[in-house]
Amino acid sequence: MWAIREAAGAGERPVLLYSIGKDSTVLLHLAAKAFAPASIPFPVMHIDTTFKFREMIAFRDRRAAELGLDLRVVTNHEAVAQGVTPFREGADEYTRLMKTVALRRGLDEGGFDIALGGARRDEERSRAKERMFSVRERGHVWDPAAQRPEFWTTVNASLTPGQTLRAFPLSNWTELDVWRYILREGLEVVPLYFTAERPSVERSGQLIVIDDDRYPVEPGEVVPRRVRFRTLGCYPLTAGDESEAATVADIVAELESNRRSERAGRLIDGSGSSSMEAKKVEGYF
Amino acid sequence: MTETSALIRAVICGAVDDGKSTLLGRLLVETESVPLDELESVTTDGLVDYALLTDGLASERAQGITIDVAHRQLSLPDGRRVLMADSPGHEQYTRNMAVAASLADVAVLVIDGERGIRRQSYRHAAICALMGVTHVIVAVTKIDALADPQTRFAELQLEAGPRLAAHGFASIEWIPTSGHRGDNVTHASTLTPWHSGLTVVDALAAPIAIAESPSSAPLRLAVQTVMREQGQRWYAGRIARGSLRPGDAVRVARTSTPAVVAEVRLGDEPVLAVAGQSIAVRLDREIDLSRGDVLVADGDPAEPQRVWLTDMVWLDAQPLELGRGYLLRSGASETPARVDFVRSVVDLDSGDELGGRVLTMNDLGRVELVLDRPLLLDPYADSRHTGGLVLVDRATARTVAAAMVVAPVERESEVTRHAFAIDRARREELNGLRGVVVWLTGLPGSGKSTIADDVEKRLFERGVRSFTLDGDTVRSTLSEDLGFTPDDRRENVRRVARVAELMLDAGLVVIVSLVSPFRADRDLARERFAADDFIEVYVDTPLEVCEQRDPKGLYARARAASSSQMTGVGQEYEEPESPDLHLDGTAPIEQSVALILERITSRRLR
Repeated sequence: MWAIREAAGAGERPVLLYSIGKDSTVLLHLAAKAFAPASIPFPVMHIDTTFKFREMIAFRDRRAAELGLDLRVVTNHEAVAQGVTPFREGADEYTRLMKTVALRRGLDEGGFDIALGGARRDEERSRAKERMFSVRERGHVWDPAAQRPEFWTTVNASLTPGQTLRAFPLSNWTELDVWRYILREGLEVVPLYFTAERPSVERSGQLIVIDDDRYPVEPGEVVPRRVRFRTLGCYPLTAGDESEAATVADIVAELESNRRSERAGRLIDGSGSSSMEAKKVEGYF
Repeated sequence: MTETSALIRAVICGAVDDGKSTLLGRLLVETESVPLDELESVTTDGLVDYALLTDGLASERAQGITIDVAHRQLSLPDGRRVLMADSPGHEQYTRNMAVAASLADVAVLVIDGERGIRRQSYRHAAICALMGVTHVIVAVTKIDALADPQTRFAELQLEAGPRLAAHGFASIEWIPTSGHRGDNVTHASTLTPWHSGLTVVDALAAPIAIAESPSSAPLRLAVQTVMREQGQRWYAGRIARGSLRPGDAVRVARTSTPAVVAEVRLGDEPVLAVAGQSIAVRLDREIDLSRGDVLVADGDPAEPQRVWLTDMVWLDAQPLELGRGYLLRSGASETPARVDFVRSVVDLDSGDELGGRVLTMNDLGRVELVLDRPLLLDPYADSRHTGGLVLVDRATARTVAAAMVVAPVERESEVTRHAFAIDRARREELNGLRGVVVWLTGLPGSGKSTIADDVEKRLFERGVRSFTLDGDTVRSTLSEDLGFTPDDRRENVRRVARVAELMLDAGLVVIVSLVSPFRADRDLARERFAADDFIEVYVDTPLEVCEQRDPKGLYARARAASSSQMTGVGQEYEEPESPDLHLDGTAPIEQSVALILERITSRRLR
C-alpha cells in the first residue's frame, strides 16, 4: 500500500494498468484501500487487444461501473483495421502491435508519468530482477543495466524529460499470496479462473479454449473439457489447465499441492527462454 | 503490508564464482520453491544446473555472472518464507550489494572452501554490517572437494572470525556446505560428522528478532499523500516507528503545530496502528500538513536539523562534488542538500579509515550533509526507514548515493550567535554601516586588487572597518596546501567564502579579490549568504590588456611553460552571467571604485 500511495504522491500523472486478471483485481482492491475513505485518485487503463475473452470484457465493464472507476480503454485500432491477428502475424508480432505499441501509445497520449501494474517477481526469471519502481527511458524502453538502485521505502521518482516509471506494488507477492488474499477479502474474479466445461482444442500439447469463431479449427476438433485458467490474456494465446477447482478455496488448495509455474500457460513467453526480457526491453509491461 | 510482513528478509553474498548461485539454486530446489517446469528447463540428462535457476537475465547467462539483484522466495518447512536477495559478486557492482542488504535481517555469506576468504568476502560483510544486517550465516562451499575439510574449515574460521566479529553482528553461524551435493543445505551431511549438524535452512529458520521497531519506539509517520473526503482531510502514510491511536497528542515536526488524532483507519477499518502499517489519519483540527511532513508524539523532543553526519555509499560513475546541490530523498521527504565535508573515506576491504576529500563509485565515506531545509531524521541504527536517505542528481535524475544517518551535527549551537550578547547587528551599529561581502572576480591582471585597495582606502577615510581577502594572501596562508586544479580551486573558493562569512559576522565590509574562474564555485559562494549581503562584481578586462599589464609576470611565465593551469592561458575563465556589478576594467579606476562604494554605503543599518 505504501508503494501505491508513493506513486500517487510522487507522480504527477499516475495511471493503474488494469488487465482484468487476478493480480489486477488485488492491485485495484489495495488501491481502493490505500485511498479510503476517498476514491482512487487516478485513472485505470486497459489495453484491449480485441482478442480478450468476452467474459473478461464483461467483467471489466461491470467492475468499473460498480467501483466508479475512470476507465480508459486503449486499442491499436490501426492494427485492427489492418486485420492483425495472432494467427496471421504470429504470436510475437501480434503481441508487439496489440499490446506493446498500444501501451506505449496509451501512456504517451495520457501524458502519464507513473504506470502501476500487478507484475510479480515470482512470475518469470527476468521479473525477479525488476525493481519495484522501474525507470523506462524515452520510448518506454527498459534498460536493465541502468535501473536505479532501490533502498528501503525511499523512491527516487525524479524523471528527466521522456522518462517514465513503472511501479509494481505486488513485486514480492506469490501466486498463492494473491489467491489467499482474494479468499480472505472475498474478492470477485473473472469466472474463467474456475473450472467449467469449455469448448477447447489441443495445440502443441496446450489446451486452447475457443471464445469465438475467429479461431481457425478443423471440423470436429473442438471438444468440451473441464478447464480453468491460471492466467488470463488473449484467448488464442492463453492455455487452460484441466482442473476441478471451482472456488477460490479450491484454487488455494490446488496451488498448495501443484508446483507448475503459472506462466507455463502463456504461449508468448515460450518463444525462446529470454523472450520476456526481450519484450520488456521494447516496452512491454 | 500485513501480507508480506511475515517474511524473513535475507541476502546471499560472496565473491564471484564462490558458488553462490549454485547454493541458492540448491536451496530453492530443496525447499520446493521452484516450479517443476522451471526445474525441467535447467535439467539436462537428469542433472540440474542449479546456478541457471537464479541467473535471470540473458546478458548474465552469456557472461556467466550475475549482474543485478534478483529476489527469490524460499518456503521454509515451518511455513514461513524467506525473501532472498541474490546480489552480485562482481566488485564493481558493490552498489547492488548495498541495495540487496538494505532491508535484509540475515546474510548468507558464501566462501569458497578451496580458494578461501577474499577481499570481496570482507567487503560484502562490511556492507552487510553497514546496511544493518544483524545475523550472518557463513556458508563454506565446495566442502566435498577438500582433502581435509575439518582442518580447512577450522582454518577459515580462525582467519576470518575476528574480522567478522568486529562488525558486531548479533550472531554468526559457520556451516560447511556443498551446493552441488547439497551437504548441510537442508539435510545434515554425512561428510561432516565433526559439524553440529546445523544446516543453512535451520539457520535461516532460527528465531530471529525481526521486530525492527517496537510499538514503544517514538512515533514517526511521514505523510505520503493527503486525501479529502466530505470536507475532511485524511493524511495517508506508513508508520515507520512507534504506534498511533485515536486520542494521541501529536505535532508536526516541521512547525511544531500540535493536534490530536481523531481517527486512524486501515482501509475502511478503524485500527490501533503499529509500525509497518499503511494507515490514514484524521486530526481534530485543520493544520498545515502536507506530503513529506512527519508527525511525532507531542512530547517527543526530536527536532528537524540542517546538518547531519552520515555514512555514505557513492553509487554513481560521476564522483561526489563537494558543495554541489543534490536532491535528498528520505521516504516522502525531499530537500536540496549538499555535502560540505568528507571527514574520512573507509577502505571496505581492510576497514581502515583513509583521508580524502571526494567519494567515487563504490566508496564509503563519513560525510557532513547540509540540507537546505531542516528535516527530522533518525540514527540509522534506530530505524532504517527514517535513518536512510538517497541523493539524486538533479540533472540526470539518477540515484547517486545512499546514506545512513549517524547523528546531527550541532554546528549552530557551537557558534551560538544568540548566546553572545554582541551579535552582528550590534557590531555593525558600532561601525555605522551594514557589513557586506564584495566579491571581485576576473582574470589575473584585470585590476581586482588595485580596485580593492582603493575601495578600502576610501572606507578607511570614512572610519568604516573593512578587510580584503586577496587571492595571493589566501594562497600563502589559508590555502597553502592547495594547488590550481579545478578541485583545488573549488576548495579554495569554499574556504574563502567561509572566512568571509565569519568576517561578515564580525560586522566588517569584506572585499574578496579572487580570480574564482568557475561559475559553479562562485554560485556556491553566493549561496552561503543572504541575497543582499553579497555583491558579485565582474572586473571585465580583455585578456590582451591583462597580458600587457602582467604586473607579476604571470602571463610571461605561463606562456613560456609547456603546460599551465593559469586562468586565461591553460584554464578557462567562465564569465559571470548576471553579476551585480559589471565593471569595465579598462575604464579609469576612480569610476569603478565609485560604483562599488555607492553599493556599500547605501546600505542602511537594520
